[in-house]
Order: sequence, then C-alpha cells, then structure tokens
Amino acid sequence: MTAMRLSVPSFLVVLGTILLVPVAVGLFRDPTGISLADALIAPSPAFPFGADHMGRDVLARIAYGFLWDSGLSVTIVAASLALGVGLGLAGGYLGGAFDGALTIVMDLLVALPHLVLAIVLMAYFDQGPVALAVALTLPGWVKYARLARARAAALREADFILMERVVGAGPLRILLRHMVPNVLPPLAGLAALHLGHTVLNVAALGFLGLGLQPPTPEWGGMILESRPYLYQAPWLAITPGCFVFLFMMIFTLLAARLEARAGEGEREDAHAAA
Amino acid sequence: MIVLEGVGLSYPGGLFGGAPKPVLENVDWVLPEGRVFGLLGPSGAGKSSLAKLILGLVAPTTGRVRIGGRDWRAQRGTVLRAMRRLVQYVPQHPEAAFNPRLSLGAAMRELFRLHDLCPGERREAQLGAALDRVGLDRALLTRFPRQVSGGEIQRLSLARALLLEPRYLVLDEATAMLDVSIQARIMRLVLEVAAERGMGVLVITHDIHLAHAACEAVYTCENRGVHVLPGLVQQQPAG
Repeated sequence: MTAMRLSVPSFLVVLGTILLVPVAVGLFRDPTGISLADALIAPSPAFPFGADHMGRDVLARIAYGFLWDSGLSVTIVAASLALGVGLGLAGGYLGGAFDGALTIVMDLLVALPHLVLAIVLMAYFDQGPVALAVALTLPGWVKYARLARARAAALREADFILMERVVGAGPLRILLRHMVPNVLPPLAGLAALHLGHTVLNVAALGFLGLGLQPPTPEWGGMILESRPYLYQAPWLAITPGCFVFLFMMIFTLLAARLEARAGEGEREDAHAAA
Repeated sequence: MIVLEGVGLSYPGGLFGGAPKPVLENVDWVLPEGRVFGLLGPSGAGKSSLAKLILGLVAPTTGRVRIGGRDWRAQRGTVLRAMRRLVQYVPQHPEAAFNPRLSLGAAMRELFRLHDLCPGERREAQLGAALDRVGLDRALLTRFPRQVSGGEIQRLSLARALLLEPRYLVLDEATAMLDVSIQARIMRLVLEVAAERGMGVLVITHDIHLAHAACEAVYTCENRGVHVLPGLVQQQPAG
C-alpha cells in the first residue's frame, strides 16, 4: 500500500480552507444578536458551532473574531516589521552612537518577556484595539531590528554596496533600493511566525480580560466567557481554541517554508559569489 | 588629476582597543589623467586601501586626497555625486559587485537616473553602445548576476564604469580571475578607451608581466608607502 504524502503547500491549502470556509459563512450571520431562548444550544444545523450563554451564534462570533484577531495581528506585525527594519537598517548601516543606543534598547527589551510586558502596558492603557496594538508592537519590533541590523552591518561592506557608492548612489538610495530587498527575504519567515504568535498573544490578553472588551467578538474573550459553562457547553471553549491553534499552525508551517526558501536563495547567492 | 598629499591610513585596534594599525604613512602621489600606471605589492600591503582612498570610500587618517583640486572629505550632495563620476572602479570579483536581487539591466539603467546621463529616449541606445563596446549581447541585461559567466560580468562591470565617462579608472586585480585571452581582450579595450578619452588608469595587480606590458610606470606598495619600481618607469609628466 502506498502511503499518501501531502506537500507543505497542499497542507497549507487544506488548513486554510478549514479556517476560511466557516469564517466566510459566519460573516453573513449576526455575531451580537441575543436570543436567551437559544442559550447554550449545542451545534446543530441552525447553529453549526452552537450558541453561547446569551444565545449568540458562535459561528458568527468566530468569523468576526477572526477579523479582529487577524486584523490586529497583521497590523502589529506590519508595524513591528516597519519599525524594526527601519531602525535595524539605520543602526547597521550608519553605525556610531545611534547604533550603540539602539543595541542597548534592544538588549533591554529582549531581556523582558513580551507577554508580561504587554500585560503591564495593557493594565495602564485604555483597553481598546489601538492600545493592544501598541502594547504588542513595543516589544515586537526588536526581533526584526536585530536581524536587519546584523544583515545591514554585513551588507555595508559588501562589494555591491561599495560599488553603488562608487557610482554615486546616496545613503537613502543605497538603503531603500539595495539594502531593503536584500534584508527583507530572511525576515518573511520571521514575520509569518510572529503573526501566528501574535494571534496567540492577542487571544491570551483577551482571555485575561486585558484585550478587546465584550461585546466585541474576539477568540480569547470567547474562551474567557465560556469558563462557567466548560462542562455544560464545552464547544464554547473548544471552537475558538481550535481556530487559534489552526491559525498558529498555518503560519508556523508557512514560516518554515519561507525560511527554507530564503536559505536556498542565500545559498544560491553565496554559490554565485564563490 | 588625482593627488595624494601626506596621506596616512590606520585601522582601529582589536576588539579590546589597542594601538591603531597603520597601513599607509605619509604617501605623496600624483596620478595624472591620460597615463596608465601600475601598482604592485604583496597581499596586505595596502593596495586595496589605497584604491578605497582614491575612490573616496574611506577617509585618510592624515593628509588629503584631491580629485580635480577638490578634497573628497569636504564634498556633499550633488558635488560629491559629480565627483564620484570622475573616478570609477572595476573590482576583482565583479559577480559580487552587482546587487544579486536586481537584473543586470536594472543595475545598468540606474546609472542614467543617478547622473541624468542623457535624455530618456537615447538611454537604451547609449546602453546598447556601451555593451557593444565591451562585446556583450543586450540579452544579457535580462539576467541576474549569478546567471552569467565571470568573463561576461567582468566586461559588464567595465561597461558600467565606462558608461559614466570617468576621468580616471582603477582596475583592482580586475583580470586576475579570468583566462589569459579574456584578460588580454579586456586590457586592450581599457587601453584603447584610455587613449581615446585621455582617461587615466591605475592597474592594481600581482602580475608584473601585465604591469610591464600595459603600464607606463609601475609603483610598488610596501613598507606603508608607494615607491616607484626602477626599470619599469617612463617619463612622468610634471604636475
């Protein structure tokens, strides 16, 4: 008997379909409509993922929760990437006092557990989506900055960068046109992994009551609300938990794939330069 | 004319400080346009550092390097960009001298944008002529640096330097990695262009035979200085 092997891209398509089909269906349903008569209804044709303690449609709340969690996570990752790459490139390329100060700040932030820092920040902030994005971006940019800085410091002395200076390119053109395209590919895998972890962190803050507040549908908040009904209606906790897991799994696999591809590209470049 | 006046260059000490390591000390050297000079010397003697000083890529620790009367260190902005055009460089490893993520065509076309070399409609014709001059096909422009041979990319590197119509060209072991026939072809082309345009050339090499064949005067870089090599010098113009 021949064992069936699923390639990583095919597996990602399958997982993506499992994630997105319920989301697409749920977006046509009402996530906030209360119907106490339907409270704690088990999964059924009318409520495919059941109903919560207020009779709200769990499928609809999962779908809108996806928009909130993934939208916030994409914003956090994009802001962290832009900030980290900008600061890291400037530090690595310019060097000097700016690079020294940047290194100290990065070392301090790396020493702090990011989720704990976000919890402390959220305890002080007004608990809205902007505060949540800021609390997770503040520690989030460091990993990009460290990698971008190291790459930029190595590229600064690369022959093609020296040649760009020889032909008259200025620092800004060198940074944007020649350094950024050579720094970004290895960061793509890191960003994918960060996206998966950020969804988990957004949900974790929601579960702790420090994230988005009810009645906003959010996966961590849904798990928090389901705690009193864990034995009576376990689908209320299991369903959002499964979607967090699915989201993380997709982006962890994607990260591994992107890192492997970036590695192949690096090897090709190194082989060509040898 | 490139003038080095009392030029010294030191690199910082090790990771834990220590005395700076001097590479060059009190070098006075004049490189006039229209002359082909050779520079020999053992590895680590400071030949490439000297090239970087001439190209304005590093600042001398002492003294100054002037190009057409202007000190590299005092220049900024458009003046600096215009000065860069005056001195061009062909490195030993041309495959590493092009951005690996840009096509060769994109890399070449950037020069037109940087220096506004000619009107848009004439750019492709000028680029084509530059490629013809070094014997390369235009189809090469669609490829990436890793997709062409060492000889092709070295000629393209030369075409890039010549496209800017420099007053001075520095060849840093530019033919060392190539076979003898391509080496001779490239050197012949450089000497032709130098004679046509009155361009000065500095040939940095380990190959004394190449230096002897191609250069009017040959210098050595050793003991932190530049010295003329007796027996391989023709009359140097005053100035």
